[in-house]
Amino acid sequence: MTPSLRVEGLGKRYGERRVLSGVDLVAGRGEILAVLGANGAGKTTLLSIIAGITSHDEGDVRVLGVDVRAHPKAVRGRIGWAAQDTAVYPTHTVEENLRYFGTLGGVRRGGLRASVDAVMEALDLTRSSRTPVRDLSGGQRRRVHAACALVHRPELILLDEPTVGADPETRRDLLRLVAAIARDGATVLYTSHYLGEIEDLDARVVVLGGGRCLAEGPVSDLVSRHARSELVLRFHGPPPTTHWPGARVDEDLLRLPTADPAIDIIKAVEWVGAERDRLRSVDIAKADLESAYFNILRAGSCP
Amino acid sequence: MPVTPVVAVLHHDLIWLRRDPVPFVTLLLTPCLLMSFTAPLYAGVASRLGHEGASGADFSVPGMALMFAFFMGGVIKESIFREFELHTWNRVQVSGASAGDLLGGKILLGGMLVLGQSSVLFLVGGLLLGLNVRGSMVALIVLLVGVAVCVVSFSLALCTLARSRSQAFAYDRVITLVWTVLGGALVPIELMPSWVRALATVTPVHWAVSGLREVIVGGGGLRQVLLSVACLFAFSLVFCAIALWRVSKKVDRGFRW
Repeated sequence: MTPSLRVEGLGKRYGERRVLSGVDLVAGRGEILAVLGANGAGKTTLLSIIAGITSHDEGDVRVLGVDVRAHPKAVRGRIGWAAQDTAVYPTHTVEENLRYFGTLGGVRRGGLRASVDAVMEALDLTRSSRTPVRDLSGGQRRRVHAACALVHRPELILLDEPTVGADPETRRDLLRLVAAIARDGATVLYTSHYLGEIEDLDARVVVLGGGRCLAEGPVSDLVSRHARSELVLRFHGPPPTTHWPGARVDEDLLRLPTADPAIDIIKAVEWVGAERDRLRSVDIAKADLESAYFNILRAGSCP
Repeated sequence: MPVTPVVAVLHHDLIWLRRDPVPFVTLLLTPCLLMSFTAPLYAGVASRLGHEGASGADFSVPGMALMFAFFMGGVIKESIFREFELHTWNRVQVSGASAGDLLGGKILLGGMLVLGQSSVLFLVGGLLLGLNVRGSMVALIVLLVGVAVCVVSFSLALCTLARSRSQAFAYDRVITLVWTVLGGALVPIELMPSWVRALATVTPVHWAVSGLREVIVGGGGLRQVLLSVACLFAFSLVFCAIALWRVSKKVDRGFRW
């Protein structure tokens, strides 16, 4: 079966600056693929190339089996794209914005009404349907922005940091909707700096760094491969020196990697011994996507 | 109910215009006022140029209509730059419309606005100021369509040449005023020095003015305005070529203004 998205050896330069280099991605129907990376890692450029808005210098990008460089028109309307910047018409009402993007996306007459109503319902916009977007709160504008990417029921959805500036309720509703859309068979490419969102979505993750793919896999896989739980000991003043394997000092914190926090926490407290008076607190930092992400960036190479 | 992307874009921009009609209304009322102020001044000019029986409105109405038709191009420029400022230009294209659809909608909007504006000004001139079109109405309509096409293509070219909205509007004001004066829309070309008359032929306004004069004062028909119409379309082709060339350059750079 043809994957919804296949990216092979993708390279892009802006002048002398190389933004993407040898990026490979595959995403199937119903899959959520999260693209992570620091600012400037190339996430937005990657999404713009997949959307057919930015040209690429090397490699092959196929969306729904179609080469986007050779046949950009063939995939238009089958992609839903919500870029980082909110892109809606402030003088138009919520419904007018959605009808416009629905029409451009090829939804016709009878279907348009149903599509607009469904997406407004899913993002709790029905009560604001006749309100001009300029009169909405920031969170509601983000909802309209996301809704415009979904109203024509696209097969591939590109969401570039959709929850930036959104309140917790908007974020929760958006994440629920993204999960539901994927369950219905659409492929979702999702970028975010909120790693908790990616864990909630249980997405497959690609970490970009310096324009290259640094790691790829399901959240659980990345966490088990790249993250370890840590005992975090906070001291008054600098922590004492230790031979604990992999120990790191971070100002007044001593981070001790552990495979079994319940046992090692006792060992650590015993080891502190004479320095116990200076010990302020002991915490367990569980292995999660965030620690895996930072370890991947630190290592800076593909596993 | 819009059914094609071009019509959807047009419909969408008309909603915008309905919500904020001030630019359009201003570009209708201002020339009406100026036409009524200047018509008496042109009455003396008409007889001096040997057009006995021609009214001042026969000169002031087409002149003001042409100048403000080019100013109406500002609505198209505004509409295009707004898409970039709102980050919707790329979004619309990903949603299913091509850049051609998007520009097509805006071209239709511009053409409709220029033709609507000209119709209102000629109607006001005829009903209130004594404008008398002696020649063929078909020729007049063909000329006005030529003017609308020229205005729209000029606006597109300017949008692609300018680096920002403020640059586009600055160039627009300067070029429109220079063309209007050089082309004889404000002062009849016969009253200008010979070197200005020679320069006038490189402005589209000159060909529009001479065509309109032929129909309104000279009583000419389609045949008499063919050269003017052909020149207007030739200018339009050049403007479109500039716009396409610039757009292709911008596409290579990621299409950002």
